[in-house]
Amino acid sequence: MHGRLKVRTTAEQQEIKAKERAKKLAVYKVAMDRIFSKRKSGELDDEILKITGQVLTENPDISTLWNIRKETIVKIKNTTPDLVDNYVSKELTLTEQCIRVNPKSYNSWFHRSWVLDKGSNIDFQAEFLLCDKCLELDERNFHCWDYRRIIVQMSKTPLENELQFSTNKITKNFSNYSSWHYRSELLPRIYPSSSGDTLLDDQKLAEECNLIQNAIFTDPNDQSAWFYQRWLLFTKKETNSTENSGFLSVLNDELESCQQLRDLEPNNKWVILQVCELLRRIDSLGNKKEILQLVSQLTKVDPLRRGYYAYLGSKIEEEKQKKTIPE
Amino acid sequence: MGEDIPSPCDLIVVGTGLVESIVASAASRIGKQVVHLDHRDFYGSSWATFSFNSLKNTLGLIDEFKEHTTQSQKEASDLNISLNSKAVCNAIEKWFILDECKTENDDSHQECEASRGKTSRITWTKSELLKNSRKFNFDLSPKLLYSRGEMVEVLINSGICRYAEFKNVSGIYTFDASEGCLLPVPCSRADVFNSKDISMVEKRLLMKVLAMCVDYENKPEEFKEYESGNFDNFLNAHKIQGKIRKYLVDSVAMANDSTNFQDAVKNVQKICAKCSAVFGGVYCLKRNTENIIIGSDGQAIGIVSDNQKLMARFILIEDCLNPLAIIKSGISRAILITDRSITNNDQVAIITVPSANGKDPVRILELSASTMACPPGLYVVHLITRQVTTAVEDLREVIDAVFCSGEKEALDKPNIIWSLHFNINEYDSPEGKLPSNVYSCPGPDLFLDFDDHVIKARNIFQSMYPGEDFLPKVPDPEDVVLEDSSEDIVQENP
Repeated sequence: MHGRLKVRTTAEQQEIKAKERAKKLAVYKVAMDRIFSKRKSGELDDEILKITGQVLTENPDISTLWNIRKETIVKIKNTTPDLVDNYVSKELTLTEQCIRVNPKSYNSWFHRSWVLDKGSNIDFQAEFLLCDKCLELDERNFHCWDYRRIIVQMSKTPLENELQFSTNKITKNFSNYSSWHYRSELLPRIYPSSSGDTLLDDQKLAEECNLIQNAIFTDPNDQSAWFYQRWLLFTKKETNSTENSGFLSVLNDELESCQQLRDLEPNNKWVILQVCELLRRIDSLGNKKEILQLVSQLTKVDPLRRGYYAYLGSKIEEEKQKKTIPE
Repeated sequence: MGEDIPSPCDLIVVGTGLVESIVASAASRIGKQVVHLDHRDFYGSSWATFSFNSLKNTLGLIDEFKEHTTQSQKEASDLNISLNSKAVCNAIEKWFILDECKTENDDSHQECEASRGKTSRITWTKSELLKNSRKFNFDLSPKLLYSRGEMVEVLINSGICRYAEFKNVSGIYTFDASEGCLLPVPCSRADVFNSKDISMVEKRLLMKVLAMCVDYENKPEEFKEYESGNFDNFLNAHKIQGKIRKYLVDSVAMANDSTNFQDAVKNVQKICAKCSAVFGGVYCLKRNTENIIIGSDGQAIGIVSDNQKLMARFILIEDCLNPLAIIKSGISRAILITDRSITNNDQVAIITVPSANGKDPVRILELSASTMACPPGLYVVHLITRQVTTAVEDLREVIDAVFCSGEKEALDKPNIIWSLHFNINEYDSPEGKLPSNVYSCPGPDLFLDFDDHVIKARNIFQSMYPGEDFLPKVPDPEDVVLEDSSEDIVQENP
């Protein structure tokens, strides 16, 4: 072997890349011209699908091309409805390819959900598999979560399955707003409260409280856990029905836990804030002094948000004035 | 292979164990001419991996191997290499199943199967196993890669990782002898969150310590008072007691009473980056080496190999062949083939069995068929501990506690189908006795990872070639061009 090995320099690499880009641009121009001329003459046919498909695979975010495809599918549905399913499955394949290239492309996801509506025989299991896969790659892909909600509705999947899905996701990684949010949407529908007061059935509420406590103790710095707990404890159907003593005891239990955590993490703003909020809900008037002390502590521990804490402090002062003294 | 060995060369490497092989490849990488020999007929020395049959043959061979003496070219000052030193020794094999197949399907057997709720299981026989010999891969020294460890750096930089497949350790456990059961060790956030047998407060304390250790380099001031002490003090100060202390000490920090703080923290960091794999395999030529030739200035000038003189600037030799090495300690090992997993669903599990009376813990590494260690339906279990007497004695208690080896099949314990016990010697190479251009490379040790060995390899390399890059990154193949080929074409187009 007499040829010597040489490594390309950066300049040479850039030159090669520039040539490749120029080639791509030329091909793109030709394709777009053809597409628009066909549309102008009303030729919404297989060829237009082919060319738009080629361009979209390279660049999935050209909304116009997706819409042209939609026009074509509608035309097919109106003229030859028995062939539509075939085209629908081609759209599913194309959107899946595009999603691989860019999992956050608005157009691809929307087109997919639009197309589902047009077919008569959708394999929802495959759709769920796609969702699972995408969420595994990126747990916070909201496009995928939205799409999941759509297919759950369309396929009339039992909500318990979805709750299990949310549980699986949380088991793997509890630092995920999207999973907790999904859970918060499902739970009130599956386990509604028997009384009018609380959000959830009592037993389920207790289970969820326990679950979220695990998250909070494992990592008190994780915001998503705290927000879920706030939703669990502080979302009320009516205002200020602390006559429900059952719920009051739940709040007191949570307060005790939080104080325990505070002993371990005295300077964690989330813990202090939660103690504040709990004290407010339990007895805003009676605990006022302690709450205000905590608020001032918060301002020291988390000075970047002192505006918020000042506002919180003033709200509490006001509450004292509005509230009538219970007998 | 091996007829035209170049001489003189830059580096002769005798033995194909891990350390010497890493140095050999690092030397080739910077353009040195390396001659790499091994007297055995397999690669890897005490690190090697074998199929069923070749394992038995190899261990049998070592017992019978007789050194063929070629004293003819030996000078008085030369160092004679002891080829029959057995680093791997005391091999004892035992079968727990029958030779012959059970020909009839007796009803009682089928009922028994059904009552366990298992689908039909192959009843393994000796001949069945031996027929599947190639589907077994037994490591003499199974190891793990810590994802933040030294070995991973080496693999990535050298590009070797392109040729390997990796499997995650899916479960880390400790064995609770008093309860006779496995406890999963939580060492990641998800583990701690999901754990059902520690309290909320314990979760917080454990996570706090884990996070501190992982972040150690960034916040040294938090550790000032503990740095020179031992790990125990650190744990006491952070209120780590009871169950979580067991987990941390036994399985995560892999420490004992006297472990110093620095070492423990390093281990915690590694385990917490929890993404490890089982890896093995090296490469070589096949050649005997009789002597190291010493010149008049006390430096080595070469070796005598199969009666041929080979000259080199540096010589590496694996420590079991080092004529000046002494046996300092040993490793007791066992390899078992079992019929089901100790855990429920793990593909690679590490289980630590801490010892009550100050002895060393026993580490168990269980591999399922998905790691290519054995055919589907079976498991390969490796046991490792410090040698006290022999492997059979050292591991008897743990094996009896965790596995079933009797005739009566226990419902909850995995049954042993075949076992092999052996010891591996660990050597000490006395400082300053070898010529300064001869390096002795350590064989496998007790620890689950390679990192010390990588560091040792790097040190040897840097001692031989100061200032040179140790396994620098390989350029992207796409950017490598053969001159007088496409170069011209690139420049032609305007």
